[in-house]
Order: sequence, then structure tokens, then C-alpha cells
Amino acid sequence: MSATEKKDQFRLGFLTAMEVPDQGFVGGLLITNRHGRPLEFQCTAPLKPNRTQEILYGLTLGPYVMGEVIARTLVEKVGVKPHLILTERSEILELRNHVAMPVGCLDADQSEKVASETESGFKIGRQWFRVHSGHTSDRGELETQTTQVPKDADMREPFERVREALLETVKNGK
Amino acid sequence: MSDSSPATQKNLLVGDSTTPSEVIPRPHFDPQQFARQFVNEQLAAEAGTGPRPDPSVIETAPHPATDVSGNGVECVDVDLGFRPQIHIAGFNSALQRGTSNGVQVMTVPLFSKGQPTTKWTPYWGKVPTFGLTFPEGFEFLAPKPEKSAAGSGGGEGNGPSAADLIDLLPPGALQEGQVPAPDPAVPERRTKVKPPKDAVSIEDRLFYLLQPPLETWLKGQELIMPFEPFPYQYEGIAWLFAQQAALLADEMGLGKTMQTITAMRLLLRAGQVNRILLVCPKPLIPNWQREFKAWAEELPIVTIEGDSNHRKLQWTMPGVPILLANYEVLGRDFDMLADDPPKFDLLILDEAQRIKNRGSRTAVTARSIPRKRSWALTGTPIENRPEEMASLYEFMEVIPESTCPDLRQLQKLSKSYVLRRTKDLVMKDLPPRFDRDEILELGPAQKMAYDMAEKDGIVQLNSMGDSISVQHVFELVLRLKQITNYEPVTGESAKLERLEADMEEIAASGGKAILFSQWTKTIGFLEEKLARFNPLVYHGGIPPKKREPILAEFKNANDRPLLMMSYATGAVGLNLQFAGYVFLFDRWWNPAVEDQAINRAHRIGQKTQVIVTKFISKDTIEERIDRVLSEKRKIFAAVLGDGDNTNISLSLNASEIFGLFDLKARHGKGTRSIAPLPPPV
Repeated sequence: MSATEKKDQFRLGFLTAMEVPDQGFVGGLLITNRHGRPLEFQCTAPLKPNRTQEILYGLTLGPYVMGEVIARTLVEKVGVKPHLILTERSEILELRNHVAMPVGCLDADQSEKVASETESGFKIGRQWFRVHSGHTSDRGELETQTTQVPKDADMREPFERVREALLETVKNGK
Repeated sequence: MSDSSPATQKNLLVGDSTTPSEVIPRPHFDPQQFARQFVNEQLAAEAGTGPRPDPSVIETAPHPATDVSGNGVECVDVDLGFRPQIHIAGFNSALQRGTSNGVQVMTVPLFSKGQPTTKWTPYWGKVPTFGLTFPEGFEFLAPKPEKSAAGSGGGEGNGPSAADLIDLLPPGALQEGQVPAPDPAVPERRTKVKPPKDAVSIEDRLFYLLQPPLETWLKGQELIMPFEPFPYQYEGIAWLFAQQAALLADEMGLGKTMQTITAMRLLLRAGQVNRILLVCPKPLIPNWQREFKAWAEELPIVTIEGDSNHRKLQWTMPGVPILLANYEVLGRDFDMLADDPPKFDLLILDEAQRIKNRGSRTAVTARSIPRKRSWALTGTPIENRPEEMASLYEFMEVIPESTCPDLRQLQKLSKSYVLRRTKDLVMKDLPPRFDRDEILELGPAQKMAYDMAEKDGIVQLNSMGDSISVQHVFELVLRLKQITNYEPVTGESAKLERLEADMEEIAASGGKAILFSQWTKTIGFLEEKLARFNPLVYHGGIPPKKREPILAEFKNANDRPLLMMSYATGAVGLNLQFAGYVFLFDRWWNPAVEDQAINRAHRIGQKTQVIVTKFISKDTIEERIDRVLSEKRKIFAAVLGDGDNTNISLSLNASEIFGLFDLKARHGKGTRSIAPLPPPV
């Protein structure tokens, strides 16, 4: 297998979730090649917690639903398995405790100085990410793998696509 | 079990919260202490030192732990259903056997039955999901590393550079589709593919929504582009990518070819199409080949050519993603392959005005080709009548067969299926084009020959009466037009004199000019007369293999300032941006064709102004034709929308050709005007 073919097999998963008013939580996972070309997309139907769940989970409801219920489901469901998962929501970083692949979260503070000084910060394309505090060893693995991603790639953009697709599916009642 | 105490039931806690954090501790109750307290109170009452309580009621003081104050808990009294009497001696009469004091023993339901203890286990049902897998698509050879300098202007690699391949531009000139390096201060542009209006299924819509922005897809990442397209070109590519039926009608020179090639390239990559047929006029085959090489070098294309057996093999050859054919071959070969015609995912017709006549063989053949997507490319979708659009729509399968949409319906269809941009709209930076009409007096010999020919011609036509046809009138028009070019016996030509004067200046300044004429004979005449300018000639009589070298020589040789072309061969598809002068030696019947000719020079990549000189002989048929055409400048814009003020695509109809002359037939003692016969019903 040539080096190019190996490179082209490298796959990233862009996972995000959102709360849609009156509908509940939805999540989507877009698998792309290293250039951002889509390979597979999975999304959930809106998940609306009941009153008991809202009361008993309290403030932990959103993180639990997005990070464990939705994110786990999507990763299990997807057919084209990614080599790593990237997310833009810190709640989903919790997914790392349930899957065997590295998970990186887009750093809210994109300051290079701050990100590079932390133990968990690393850069993919033009953006800084961080790994789960309990899995800091992921950083080295991610840094190695993501050298295949073009340095000028905008890693925020695929999340926009996922959000747009989620709204489209909700609109269509999927 | 401590809950069995009656007092527990007495002191029910009622709160508004049941969350674990707000549970209030159960109050401790000691019956013995309660009895002692009660007796002491009785004694105090009897001794007159305290209030005498009603022995039938037990009033329980609030327990400190159940105080209502402050924590939202209140005590309520519950009737126990019996009246305990406690004697001073300290025993309870209720415990006595017998009924001597009228007290009945009864069972008191201390608990309400069926009050379950609330238990909740976290459970989330199976989350329904929806998935979409994207097709694999074609994988082509990786682009050469040296081409990764895309967008910087140029192919400086070992292989042929894009600058050598794309077209005939002077060294250092801005190529077609190329823009200067982007300004970092300008926000990043993203052109997203939008789902087409007719995409209904969620799978289709998501497929388009989830595609990356074209800039990401094309700019130096996966698909190398030799030059950065203009924003409007990105929009055109994105639009084409999503369309099943499309008419790309950009004005000439805006890069329809490049947009189409790139859209094809993306569709192949995305696995949306596997087999494409592109049909164009025969003279444009080399142009398409060159553009494919420049914009999508990795795409394998096969040009249908050779003898019939070879062509049959080419039509049916598997694994070829793109076939290139000319209209003539298409007509011939699809008759041959009628039993089992090849099928295509995408059929593209370049210069699609070729199928404007719905009943023509070309149009019928094009419509018969099995295909999934139908695209038409033309800068002049309407050449004569708005109805010509109906033929294009029928090819695109957006109207039923043989239907005739009215103007309103055509406008509506245009919004969905036509993309047209004009230079005025998108190319504000394109150097200006100056048109000047040179109204020239004929020379004496020319004038005499012209007047005589016109007079004789009209007499002859009048004598034919009602048997006269458009063809007869047309022949006279042609004869007169030829005389306005030059007088055949003496060779006198007012236009030639003016042209020579202009060419002196152009050649001296190192400029380049292209000249168009309707007749190869006129071109031959000029070639001889202008020999000192060493002109090049390009028309249908030149073998196709010799045409490309002629264009290359015109581009590169400093001593070849003039290229003379026929409208039929040179007006379409060529990129001659390095020429700053265009001469229309005689006028074509249709301004759209003239515009096509002018736009060989006035197109993307042109760095200087373009001066267009139209020769019109005064007091001749040329002036009359020009007047008629200039009065017909509205229908094009009416169908294709506003902002289209540069293309006037309506040529003369039969009535107008008759109207060029005052033709009269004898009618009794007088005369009457001769008009064209109505078309047969």
C-alpha cells in the first residue's frame, strides 16, 4: 500500500450535539477524510428527557445526554470508524471514558500561548484542541496522527456542516 | 419498625420538594415522655396552676424539628379515631377489657395501603439514529507535486505548465480564472453547495449540505486547481454540482468551460457520476481537450473519432469517465447504436443553441440519449425567438415533450434552471470595451457597382411578384454586402483603406488585432492586399490540425499582428485575450454571433481595453440591417432577466428581410407591397 493510500484512509470524526427548542437534544457525527470530504454521517432523532429525568439529573442533564447517551450511540452506530473524534462541546469530551479512541475538544480559548502551555493542548489544522484530563496520553497520539491534516485546514468548518445537517433533519422530522 | 408508632402518623410532614437534598429528618417521638408530660399538665390544671386541657383532645406541641417556621414544613392534625384516656394512676383505660366506660376497641388503619416507595433507575431507551454513507467516487492519479503551487500563478514544474496549456496568453498575463493572491485582511470566503430546489428526500439534501465549501475542496487540498477561480465561478461550480438539469448561460468569456470541467471533476470525485458525454461543435474539440488538460489533468478523456468501427468501440469502452464528441458524430453514431445506446450519468451540450430547433435531427438525437443529468452550455440561449428556450428545456427534461411554455412560464423556469451572469454584473474589473461604428462612404467604383446591383436586383424581384421567396431576397442582400466589402472588378474597398490605416498604427505599437468576415473569399482578398502585415488566416478551409499552430503563432510571433477569421469558425470557443483590437469587416445577421466573435478578445485575462471597430457602408444595405437589429434589443432581457443589456440575440426574420427593400408587385393599374408567404399550416 502506498503512502498516499494510507494517508487517504485516515479518517476524522466531527461530533457535536445541540439542544433544539421544544424538540430536545440531537447529535451528529460526520466522518471525513483528511481533507474534510464526507464519508459517512450519523445523527440521532431528537431526544427529549422527561420531567423526572430533568429533576433527577438537574444541571448534569445536558452533559450526560450529549456526552454519554448521544455521543456513545453515534460512535457505536457509525460504520466507517474514525481514527479520532473531535468535538466542539466540552460536555462530549466525557465520551473518552467510554470509547477506545482519542477524543479532542476544540479549545474555547484559541490562544496559542495558553493552549500550548497546557498538558492537554494540541493543534490540528489552524485550531487548538485539548484532550480529556484523564487521558493526557492521547495528546501524543493525536499529534502524530493529525500531521496528515493540512496545516491550513479550518477545523471549525465541519462542525458547521454537522449543525446545519442536524437542523435540516429536525426540520424534516427525521 | 419505628414507623408503626401512631405518633408518626400524627406528625405527617408535607413539603414541596422531594429531592434527596431537601429531605427533613424524621422527628423523634418518645411515648413515655409524652405520657409524663400529659399527666403533669393534668395535675397542674387540677391544682389550678395551669390551663385545664380537654381530655378528649391531645394537642401536640410542635416538635422542634418539625417547626413550620422557616423551612416550609407544617404540622397537621390527624384524627386518630379514638380518645385515649390516661388515668392518673398511669394506665390507659383503652387497654382495659370490657366496656364498662363505653370505650370500644377498634382497629385503626395506621398506614394507607399501597403507598409504594419511589424508586427510579436511570434508563434511557434506545436512541433512534439516521445515517448516510457517501459514495466512494473516482480516485485518480495524484496530482504532480510541482503543481501544488496552485493559486500562486503558476506551474513552474518539470511537466508542461498550466500557462502553456490553458490558452494563448502572453507571458505573465493574467490567465483565465486567475485572480491575484488573496488579501489576508479580507474574510475567508466559503462557497457552499446548496441542495437544489427539487431535492426532496432528506438523503439528497444532506448529501449536498455536508459537502465541504468549494474553496476548501479545491484550494490546494484534494483537487489541485491551476488558478484560483473568481467568486462567481465558485458559485457557478456549486450550482452546477447540485443540478440535475442546468443551463449555464454565462456571457461569453466568463469561464463556462472551466466551471463545467470543475463541476464534472467534483461529481466524479463525489461518486455522483461515473460516465459523462460532452458534445460540442467540431472546431471546439481541441479547445476542450486543452482546457481539460489545464483544469483537470487527472481526468481521462476519450475523443470519439476515427472510422465507424473504431468509434463504436470507443462508445462502448468501459472505464472511461468522459467521452468527448462533436454534434455530427453524435447524429451519425446514435443511429448506428440505436438498438443498444450507451447510457450516461451526465450529458453536456456545449454551444447548446445547436438544438434550438426542436425537430432537428441533432435535437432529437440529444434528447434520445439515456442520461441522468442534462446540462446545456451557451452564451446565447436565445438567438431568434424565446421559444428556442423551450427546446433547451425539453432537452433538460423539465417540461413535457412538445409543450410550448409562454413567456411567464419561461421566466419561471429560468429562475430554477438557468444561471446567467454578464460581464457587467461580475467582471467589474475587466478592461472596458469600446465599440465604434465606422460609417464609410463607398468609393466611386464601389458605389456604381452597388447601385447597379441593387437596382437590377429589385427590378428582378419585383418582376417575380408573389413567387418571390426569402431566399431570393437573401441572395440580393448577400450580393450587395459583398460589394460593400470590395468591388470585385477594380478591387476598390473603402473598408480596406480604413483597415490599412488602422493596421499601420496597431503594427507599429506592437498590438494585435483580429478581423472577422462572413466570407472566406473576402479574407482571401484581404490576405493579398494586407500582405505587408503578414496576416494569419483561420477559417473552415484550414485543416483542423493546422489551426492550433496558427493560433500559437499569432500569440507568439511579434511580426504577425493580424489574424483574419470567419465568423463560423473563429467566433466560438477561442481564447485570444492578448488581442486588443477587433474588426468586424462585415456584419453578421445576428448580434449574438458578433458578440461571440468580439469576446474572443474581450474576456477574462484581457489586460487592456478592447477596441471594436464595426465597418458599416453608408447608404447601403448594411446601414438598414444595423437599424433593424438595433431596434430589437428587449426580448433577450425579458426572458433571462434584468442586467442583460449586452446581448441582443435576435436576427432578422423573413418580414424584416423583405422590409430591407421596397418591393412592389403590379396590382391592376398600380402596385402593392410584396410580403413573405405565411408559413404552411
